[in-house]
Amino acid sequence: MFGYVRPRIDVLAAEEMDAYRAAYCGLCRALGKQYGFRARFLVNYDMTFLYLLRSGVRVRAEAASCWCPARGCGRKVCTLDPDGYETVTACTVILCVEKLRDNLRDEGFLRSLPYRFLRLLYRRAYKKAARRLPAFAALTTEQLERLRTLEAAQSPSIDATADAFARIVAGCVADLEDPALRRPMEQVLYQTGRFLYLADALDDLREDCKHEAYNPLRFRFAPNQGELSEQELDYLTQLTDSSVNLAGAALALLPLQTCDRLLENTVYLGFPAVFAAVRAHKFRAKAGLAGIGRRSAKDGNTPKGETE
Amino acid sequence: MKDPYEVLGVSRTASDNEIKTAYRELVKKYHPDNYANNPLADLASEKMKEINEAYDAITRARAGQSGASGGYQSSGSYQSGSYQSSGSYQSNGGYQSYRTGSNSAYAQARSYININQLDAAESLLNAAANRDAEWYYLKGMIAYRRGWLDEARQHYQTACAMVPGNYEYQNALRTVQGGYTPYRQTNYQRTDMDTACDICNALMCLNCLCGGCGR
Amino acid sequence: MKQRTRKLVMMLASLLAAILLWLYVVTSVAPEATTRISGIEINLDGTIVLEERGLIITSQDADMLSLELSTPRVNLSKLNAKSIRVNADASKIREPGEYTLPCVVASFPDTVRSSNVQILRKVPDSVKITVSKLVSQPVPIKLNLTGSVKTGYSVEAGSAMLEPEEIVVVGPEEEVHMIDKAVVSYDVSSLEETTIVSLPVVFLNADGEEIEFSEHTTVSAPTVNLTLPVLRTREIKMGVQLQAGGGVRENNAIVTVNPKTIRVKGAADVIEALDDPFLLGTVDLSEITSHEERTFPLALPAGVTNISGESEVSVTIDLKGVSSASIPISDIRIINAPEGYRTELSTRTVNVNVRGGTEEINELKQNKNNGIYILVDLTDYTQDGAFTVTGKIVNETHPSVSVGKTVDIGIVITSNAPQPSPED
Repeated sequence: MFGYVRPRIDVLAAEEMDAYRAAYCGLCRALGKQYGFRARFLVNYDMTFLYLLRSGVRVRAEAASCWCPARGCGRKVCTLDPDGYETVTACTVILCVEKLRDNLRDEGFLRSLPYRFLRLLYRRAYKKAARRLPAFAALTTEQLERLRTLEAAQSPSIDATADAFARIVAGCVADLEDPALRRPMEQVLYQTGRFLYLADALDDLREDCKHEAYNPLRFRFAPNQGELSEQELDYLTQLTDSSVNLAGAALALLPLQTCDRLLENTVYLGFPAVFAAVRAHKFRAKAGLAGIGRRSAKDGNTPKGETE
Repeated sequence: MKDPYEVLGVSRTASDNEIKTAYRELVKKYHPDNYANNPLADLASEKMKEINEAYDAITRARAGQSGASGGYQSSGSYQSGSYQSSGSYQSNGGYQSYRTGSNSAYAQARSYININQLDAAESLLNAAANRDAEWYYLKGMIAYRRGWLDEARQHYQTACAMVPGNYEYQNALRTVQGGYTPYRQTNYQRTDMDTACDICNALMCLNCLCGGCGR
Repeated sequence: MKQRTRKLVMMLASLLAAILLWLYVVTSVAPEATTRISGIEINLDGTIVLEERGLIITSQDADMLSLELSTPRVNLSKLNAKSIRVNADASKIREPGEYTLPCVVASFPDTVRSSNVQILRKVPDSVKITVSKLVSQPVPIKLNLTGSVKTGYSVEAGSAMLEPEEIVVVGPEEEVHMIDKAVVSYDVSSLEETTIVSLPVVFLNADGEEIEFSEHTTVSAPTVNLTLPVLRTREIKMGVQLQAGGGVRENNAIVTVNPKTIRVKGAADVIEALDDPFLLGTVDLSEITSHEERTFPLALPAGVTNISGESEVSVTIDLKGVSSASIPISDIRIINAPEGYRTELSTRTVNVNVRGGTEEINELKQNKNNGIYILVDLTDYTQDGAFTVTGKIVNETHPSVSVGKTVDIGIVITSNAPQPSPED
């Protein structure tokens, strides 16, 4: 989906890295089993975080070696936790389909890439997910509508726009009955959603300024050719740090039995690292030309000098 | 009643020193200052209560065993007023004296804020005629509790600008500026692994054979 | 003369009538004009329905059509390539194959009555299309790292993460089935920190050649995000924390460590924060006699991996400038002697073991008034007799010298009451 919510894998101990991969692969597997093989490619890091958060308050689920079609190797370890993944997969399907719908709205024409995949997944998968989580599906539609209204009005409020999005993310745990679990999780997810929205806005700022597309940062600040000043970036970094503090404080209130280090790593180390990379335009930067020229085995590895 | 050793996260055979250290770490973590104006403050103070009770239970049990070990009576010091769990974290005792005036609408708004009834607090404020520093501070508190950090910061900044000497306002602004760093569990030195991990490792041994494959 | 004028008028009138008649015929009842309109787009109907059936149109032999038609001249200005719609209906097709679909004029502009337009010729009058099976195929992505890693760094290819890990390709069967693999390539030569980049996906056929897809094929993600952890390597010195005690100071200890350094890897900021030397543990010098070898396991912080191959470090400690001696102490003091009794020491001098810096020990040996004394507490002794009491060795004058704790002292207690004289 977005990919901004991720642990700093270069400081994870080996077993934590394995646990993370197992959770990610487990989500992929669960998506395939519950929504058909095409739903597998909806797996992403953000929803893996959601799974870790939800399952962290329970004893670690069983992990097993499963056949994985996505890896050359064939077999990988994934977490087997059909109940634990059930809500997460439904949320994933609903959110991804809505995102595709949104992209479609922006691109507008029938033959676009999102359109085709939307129609591949939409009917059956979305309907099934919406039946599983009707309140969440309704919330998502409602908040995205609200977001569009704010966008149309060119709202300069970072908070209001981020709020619409954050509420959706927090809504992923609305089904939990115990308030001692639900309330801290909602707070963690709300601040995660805020962070995600802000990071995405900053990442897209250059492009949005170029194409005069809506971006709350365009109207809250006055970017110069798509760039914010150092002071403004510092301000945003401080807002992110506050989100980290609030999310961390909420995390501390959860009776985490497993995945606590992964979750803490994501919040305390992952968020700041991602934001710093986004700020420096180093996050998912398009790789340079060196070494990725189109190669053909017949030509004997001569790059054709293709540009991006 | 949860096992007090479990609450403090220590084994039954832990030394008195280890228990004291564990207790102090937990107090730092769940300290009310870390949850100032936090919508989850009530959960934090419940946790504090649980920790204090566990510590007391352990020290009483151990004192009973070893006879005269008067050194543990000092646990009483952590029960001082500011830690009392009263269902919700009331604004820190010391701050009361800084409140400007005794405006009842503001007092009411504060009460609403403390019990997370933010809409009620907000409508009270919106009905107020006077927009003074306290008004902006309270608007900031509401925004912060909602997670609207940009607005909170702007309101706190206004309040501080209007009344520069106010400690309460400055403290609030510092929190949002990231100047106040609460307890952060960045302790990666822990060597105790949960036993579930060992089961996990055993199951993963099949994958170990394939370990080099994954690119 | 009158007859001639009349003839003229008659001629003019009939001319006028003829003109009028001609005008009438031309404008209302007149024959139609023929025109050719070209460049009319042929719309293929039913593509959505086809996709639902798992079919896709991959080629059509014409996408423009010209119409030759005849229509009242009035309509001529309203008819053009944009205002006329031509369809070819593909919606009945249920199988892949080649089909010839008739081109049908579906509609004219609103202001023109279709009954007034006669279509004389359509060029072409049908369109040949190819319908293929629409397949969707997931393709795993292979990561291809090229270049050589910079010295002092380690690229963790095994922990690399691709997002997504597989791509779904949707398109005509013939195209999609050409795919052998999908590859993303990245050059690691200049990397110094963990990198997250967006890479284009290259599809290769079985011969290893790149496939260029037609516009009928779409992929779920044209680029893939690669998270590649890049760690720094560093040699760190090994050391131990010395704790003075037992008369031994830190500068009395010679520490030899084997291996002297360990090679580790980790994220740059974590590696930089490591202590140098890295302290393996604490050695309490009071436990060392003169020479000791100890082995310490390497307990590195999380995120730091040992790549030297050694899992333990052996530390040898040799003491220098430390002596032990046994010095005679005769300063024995009694406290809490029982009342009404006389106490006598049967032990006058005891040997006390001392340890410390050689110079200080020598000084103690030579100086009888060295301030070390034995304290004997007789609180519990209330009877006559000869006893061996545990005396506490007190050293307040030489704190850096360690002495034994206790020593046995013999005492004799006799009551002051008159002794019964021996019986005669």
